[in-house]
Amino acid sequence: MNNPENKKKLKLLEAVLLLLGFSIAFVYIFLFRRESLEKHLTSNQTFLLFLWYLNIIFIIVLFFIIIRQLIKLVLERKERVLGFRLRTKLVLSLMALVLIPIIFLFIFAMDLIVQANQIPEDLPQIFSNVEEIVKDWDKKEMKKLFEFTQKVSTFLINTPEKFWYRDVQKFCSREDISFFQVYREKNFLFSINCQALKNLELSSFDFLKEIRENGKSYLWKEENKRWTLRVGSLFVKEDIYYSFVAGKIYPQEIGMGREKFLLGSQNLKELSYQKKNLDITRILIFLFLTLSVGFAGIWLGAYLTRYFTNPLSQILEGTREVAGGNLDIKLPHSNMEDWDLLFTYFNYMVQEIKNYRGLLAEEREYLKTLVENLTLGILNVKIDGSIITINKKGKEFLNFESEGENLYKKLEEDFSPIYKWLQESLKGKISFSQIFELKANTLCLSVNYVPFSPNSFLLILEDVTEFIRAQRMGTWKEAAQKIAHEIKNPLTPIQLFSEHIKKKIDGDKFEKEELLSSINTILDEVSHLRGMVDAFSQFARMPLPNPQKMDLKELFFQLKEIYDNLHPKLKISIDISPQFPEIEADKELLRRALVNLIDNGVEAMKFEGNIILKAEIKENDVLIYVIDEGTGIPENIKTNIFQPYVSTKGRGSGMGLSIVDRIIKDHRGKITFEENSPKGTKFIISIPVS
Amino acid sequence: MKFIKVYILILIFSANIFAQEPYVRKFFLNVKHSLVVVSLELEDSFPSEILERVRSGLPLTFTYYFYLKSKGTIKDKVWIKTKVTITCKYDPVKIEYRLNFRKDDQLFDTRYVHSWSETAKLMSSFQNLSLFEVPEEAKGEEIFLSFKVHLLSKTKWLIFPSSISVPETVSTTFKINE
Repeated sequence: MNNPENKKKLKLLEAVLLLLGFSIAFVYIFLFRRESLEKHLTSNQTFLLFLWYLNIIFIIVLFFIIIRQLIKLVLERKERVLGFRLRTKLVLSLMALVLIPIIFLFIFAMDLIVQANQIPEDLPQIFSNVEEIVKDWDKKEMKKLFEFTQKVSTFLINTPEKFWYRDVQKFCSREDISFFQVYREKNFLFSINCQALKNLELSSFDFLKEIRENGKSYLWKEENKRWTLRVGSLFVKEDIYYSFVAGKIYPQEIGMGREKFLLGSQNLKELSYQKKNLDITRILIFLFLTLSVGFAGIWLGAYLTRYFTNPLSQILEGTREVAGGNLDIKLPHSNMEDWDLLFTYFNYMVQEIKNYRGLLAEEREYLKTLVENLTLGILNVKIDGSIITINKKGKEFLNFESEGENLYKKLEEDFSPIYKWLQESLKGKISFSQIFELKANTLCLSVNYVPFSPNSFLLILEDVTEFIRAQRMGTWKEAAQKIAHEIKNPLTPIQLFSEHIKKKIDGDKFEKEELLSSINTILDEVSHLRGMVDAFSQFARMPLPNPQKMDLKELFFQLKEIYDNLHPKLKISIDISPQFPEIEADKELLRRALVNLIDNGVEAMKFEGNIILKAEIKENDVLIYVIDEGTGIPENIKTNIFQPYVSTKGRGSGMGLSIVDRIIKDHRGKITFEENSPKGTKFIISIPVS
Repeated sequence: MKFIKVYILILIFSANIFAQEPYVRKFFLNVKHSLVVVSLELEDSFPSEILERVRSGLPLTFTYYFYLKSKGTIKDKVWIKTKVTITCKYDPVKIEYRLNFRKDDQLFDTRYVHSWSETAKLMSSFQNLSLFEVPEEAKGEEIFLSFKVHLLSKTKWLIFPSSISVPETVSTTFKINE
């Protein structure tokens, strides 16, 4: 019993029973007792006033409740209480839904009530007129009977009492009366029953008293189910008071008709008199019911609104706490099942977030430790150069003392090559990597730029000094081997022919042509050696590109002009849009690269045929195609065609494609190739537009 | 027992200048053997509202309230009181007025009257009506009789209670010897 839940249920049950009781009582009164109650109520001014005051109180209470709700909403709005907008909309909608219909209903019903009670205008007049006729008839009848008593009085004044019965009988027979009674003082003397009526009643003491006191009187009375009119007059003879009562009995239809009409007329007068009170009573009762409904509706609505918005505010408050970082928040249990379920899930969700946060913190700590102890330098930098995070190795590489320093400033001061390159990378907004030799070539740093977010990027620094050194060593070794091999090739015939010449000169047996041929061979080999040295020198002294705005169409046509003049059997076709935009590239280096590619194509086609120079824009890259119809690239050298000293031409330097590859890479582009259809090779250069 | 006969004639002009309000035209007080007997007459006690009610057939009740009091500093002390009601109802079939006389809600007389004038007279006047005996505690005190008459309840502007009545009328003080 102490359980709050049970108490609540009990209260609810009591309220329901009470409401049921009231409803039954109301229905009973309305259906069975309405008329008598109304009659009682309309004549009771006290009740009318009570109704008035009750209604006024109800109006005040309703007004108070509405104002209170509105003030509450305004205050909540001012204090920005969570959920105030929803509550405002709900409460205002509810009030409108309850009040507007009941106001309209009341106004309409009020009119109906008044109209329903309306008495036709001419009806009272009609009744009044007929009533006058009835009253006139009454008076005439009374007058007739009264005149009869007067006549009898006059006649009997000189007649002794013992003869009255005989004489009055004669009178009665000639007149249209039903009976005649004579009383001496209060005592009955005799009665003449003119119509042989049964059970004829004597006149009452009060009637006789009135005759005695007033000299005359009359009495309408229902006797034995028939209406009787008695008229009495006083007759004094010899100081004795006689009462003469003449009476007439009317047929039932006349008597009843008269009675019904007079009663009806009386009821109409009563109704007319009561009409105003009746209207007011009905209106007040209806107003009371309307206000009750309005009061109940608004009160219930406010209660239901709270039922909905209070838990919602709790949820909002909880969510706000979680958003603020408080994961210890826990919503209390709700008595309402649905809300309780939501609260439970909310609490569970918050607990899960708390758990995951813990896990995330652990993971973050792990990653932080990992990054901090990596042999790579890792910087997370904002676009404006301020460092978000930098690990220990990063600080070591760049001589940073604290994370508060600006990266760009530091780089500009101490590592200007990296600074310049970074600025270019930022413009391109692509992942890019570059190796820098710093500190008088004692440190080789690989710097990798990785866009991280719209406002920040990562710089990954790796000490590749040893790697570069080893690579260079390896490269030099390889280069030295290749150079040695290339040099050895021409040196061998030079040595052979020199020894041959020496032998001939020593033997004094040489012919001029033989000697010249040997010398020419030696000169050829020396020339070849020189060419190789030149190519190597060119490769070694390749400058970094200086990108400028340039017109690719112009370059294409320049090249075409050169090769058209050089090789008449060769045709250079150009496939480029007249509206092709300017690109950013080092014109000279690009020319050199294209020249190398065209030269290779020309040689592969044996100086005749068609070479196509094509260019197009794809996304942010310029694609340059150099397409020949030559013999194609042998399978065995496809994989390392861009390496130095790789050549299909017997005595070529093997540096051409390496130079092209270097130039394109310096432009942050790439070069690939594929087989052309039906024959030949298609080289595809891809460099950024800017 | 000694008796004191006190004749008091009070003419009260309480008629309202805007309307003919009922007022007391005659008021006689007699104390005989400690029994208080009054005779009084009202004037203008049948304004249109009352006549309308009578004509409508609804019962009409005049209520007379009588109090035997002594003057007090803050409030008058009421020794004894009584209420006399006269109810009139018109019977259109019998063409008569039935008058019921009650004292403290006990019926003591019923009259059937044919004329309105007589009815009006019976309702608005008393002749030697015995009210009550003067209580022992009141003897030797300066006492007076007050009465007021309620004729009909009505409302002003449909809300405020009002009535047709005769305001409180008091006699001069007198003393009954012990």
